[in-house]
Amino acid sequence: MSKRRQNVPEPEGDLPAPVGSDLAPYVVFTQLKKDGPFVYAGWLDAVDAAMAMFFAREHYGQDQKCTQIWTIPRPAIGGTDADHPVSTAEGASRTYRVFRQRGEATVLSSAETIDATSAAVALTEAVKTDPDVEVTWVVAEADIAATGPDDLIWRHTDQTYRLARGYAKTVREKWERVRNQPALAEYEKEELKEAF
Amino acid sequence: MSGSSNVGMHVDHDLHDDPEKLAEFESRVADGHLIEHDDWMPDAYRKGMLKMAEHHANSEIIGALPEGEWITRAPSLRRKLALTAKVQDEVGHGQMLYRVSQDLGKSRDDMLRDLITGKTKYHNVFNYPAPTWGDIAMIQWLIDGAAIMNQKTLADGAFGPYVRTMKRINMEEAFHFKSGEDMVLTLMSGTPRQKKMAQDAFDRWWYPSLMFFGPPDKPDAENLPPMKWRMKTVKNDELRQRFVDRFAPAALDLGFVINVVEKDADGLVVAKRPDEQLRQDETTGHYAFTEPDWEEFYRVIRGGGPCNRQRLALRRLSYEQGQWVRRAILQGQAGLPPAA
Amino acid sequence: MPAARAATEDTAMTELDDATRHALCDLLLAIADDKLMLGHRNSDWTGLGPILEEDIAFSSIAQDEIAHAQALYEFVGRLAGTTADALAFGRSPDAYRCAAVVERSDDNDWAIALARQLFCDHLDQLRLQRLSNSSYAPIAALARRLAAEEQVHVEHADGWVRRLGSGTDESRQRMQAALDTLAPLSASLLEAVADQATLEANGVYPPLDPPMTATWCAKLTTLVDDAGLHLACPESAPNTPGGRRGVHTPEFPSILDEMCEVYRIEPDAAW
Repeated sequence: MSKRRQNVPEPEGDLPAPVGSDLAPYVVFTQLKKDGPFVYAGWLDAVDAAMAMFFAREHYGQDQKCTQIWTIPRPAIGGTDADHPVSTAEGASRTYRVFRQRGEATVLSSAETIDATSAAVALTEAVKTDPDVEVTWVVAEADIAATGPDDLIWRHTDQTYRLARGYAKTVREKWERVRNQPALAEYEKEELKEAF
Repeated sequence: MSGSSNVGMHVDHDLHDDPEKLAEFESRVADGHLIEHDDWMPDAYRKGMLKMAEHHANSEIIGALPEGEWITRAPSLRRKLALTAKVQDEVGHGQMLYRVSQDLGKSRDDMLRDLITGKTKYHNVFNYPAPTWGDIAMIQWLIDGAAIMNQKTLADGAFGPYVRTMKRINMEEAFHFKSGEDMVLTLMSGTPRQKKMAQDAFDRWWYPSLMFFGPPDKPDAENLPPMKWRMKTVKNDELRQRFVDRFAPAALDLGFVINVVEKDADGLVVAKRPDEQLRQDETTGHYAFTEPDWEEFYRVIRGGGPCNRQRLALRRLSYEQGQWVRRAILQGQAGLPPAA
Repeated sequence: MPAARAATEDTAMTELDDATRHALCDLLLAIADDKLMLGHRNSDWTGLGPILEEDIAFSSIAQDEIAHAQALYEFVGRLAGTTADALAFGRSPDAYRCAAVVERSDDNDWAIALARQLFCDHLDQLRLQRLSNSSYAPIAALARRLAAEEQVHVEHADGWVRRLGSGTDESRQRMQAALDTLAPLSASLLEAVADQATLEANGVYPPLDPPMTATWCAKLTTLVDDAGLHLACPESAPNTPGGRRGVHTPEFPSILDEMCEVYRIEPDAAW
């Protein structure tokens, strides 16, 4: 066992005071194929957008091969769910990205963009276009942070050690060998009997 | 605003469960719909789901410790990479499950503090030691195998955020289980010393695996809230039997001894490996087994396990030593780019 | 691995003369051993990091280091007729070529772990850049592949040094103390392997212009200044033989004892 993990002294006294609030929540979307939709990957907490993007790349970006990552701070989301109240503040026209969750057990994925003067107007239009879904979100494109074309996400070195499929073949072969061992022993015994 | 404040308001408004709303909630659950945290739900359901998600998150964070001890000692480069990635996944699961819990109204910092001060619990199984590399193989095969069986049924539950997280976690658990299977197969196809290492570890982990599914069910479990509200979907005893029926024959195939009693010259039993009753019932097809020692189970939960203090001490050390880093980013100048 | 890439990295292992092959093996072992030790130390942080999200990120980077070491050991294995695992786990301490700075424990101090990563990542980036320009095509192909990932590591280390430098008084002090502690030790990274001059002369490990050490110091100093901290960057290797010649710190054998504990139970077995 490494030294750092050994013989840790029993804690004494009270815990140090909390440092403050939690970090801010960001939602992460990953694009698995070029030109494909961005699919909900998960949430993480970070102190700012740059940190959120780095964490997203090193966590959700390493789950499976992906071409690009988007991160969105939670307050930038306007949705049909009560967790993401939509802003009615009017302003100059902006481009909003629509996300939809089709079924209860599925996850959100990105869809078309809509130009509108408020998030509420964009959301109303998005719902009108496709009313038959569980959840619809709109997010101003300006609030979506994206990895650049040169940012490395998925690694070039062999990653099969961290994927189930990296073990499928060897596990199957080893099982066959292990399962055939008793049969082989029986077979060899029979053969010996015949020989003598 | 974060979602957690919305959640707080819900609880305030719904101090008394309205019978009409409760009936509607229960019929939605019975019809197989998912509940989202902005939906109306009984106060006990919200508290119960928070407790469940928080306990699960705690278990992932503490569960990273026994296996983490072996990252520096893994015997090949591929195993070293795989074990690091596996423990890293557990931290990731903890992070995702804390997020589900945060949305139910409790801050991550509060949860981490409650964990290390013993106010909240984590899974009992992580209070057992992993003295050899064989234990690492066995944890990934038996305990992750048990976890997948359990979590697959949790993914059929009713609470949307938890269900979606379970589905994701199960995808990653497939790697853990396959890598565990590979390690066990490698040891059992190896040298006599490797086989003994695996058998000894099997003997140590068999009962903790059976305990993994929790204590025997209460009578009428189907009609009590956890199952009625589909916080869980299958009874503990049923899952335990499924586990035994799957892993006992697999262990036999691998060449493990599963029901041998060793006696000394005077006929006294010196060892049971691991359970003399563990054999297939010809008529039912199920494997019979001796019930785990539930007194031990409760003793370990209360803090009397072999590693409870060690686990919490290390987790607390990590929390205290990370405090200055968290303070630096929360109280420092924000908004700096990660690179020039 | 795509077939084309594998073919480039595998081709013509025989075209090197013996002296060059030996020197190249030594150089690649120095880089791989640095990376293995760094990955070994940093993967031990998995589950114990200061923030869950950073725990995950730091672990991904530690895995990269070990995976890079593995790729380099496989390359050396093909040149020297052995396996990556035998190189990683099966050598005696004096056959390792790693630098003293990666052998140092971080004593659970995140600032030390980060500073160690900073010195190493910046040098790795430059070493891989040199190998990318190698006259020996197979190593150039491998180096280019690894260099892309090194960029991620550099961004990570730089980002944290800036944040801690501009964080609280405490984080500034801790980061400064870590830099002060490790800067003299980081000179160990600059030691040349035996016969490195041969590789520089025949273009297998071409020098950079301006020279690598100057570039390394300039980049580190600019970054550290920018973070509001200061760095006395070493400008040359120590005068006495060190890790590149198999002379290690007193704690090194015990690091190997721990790392090889299971492997040594049955060195010839599959694990």
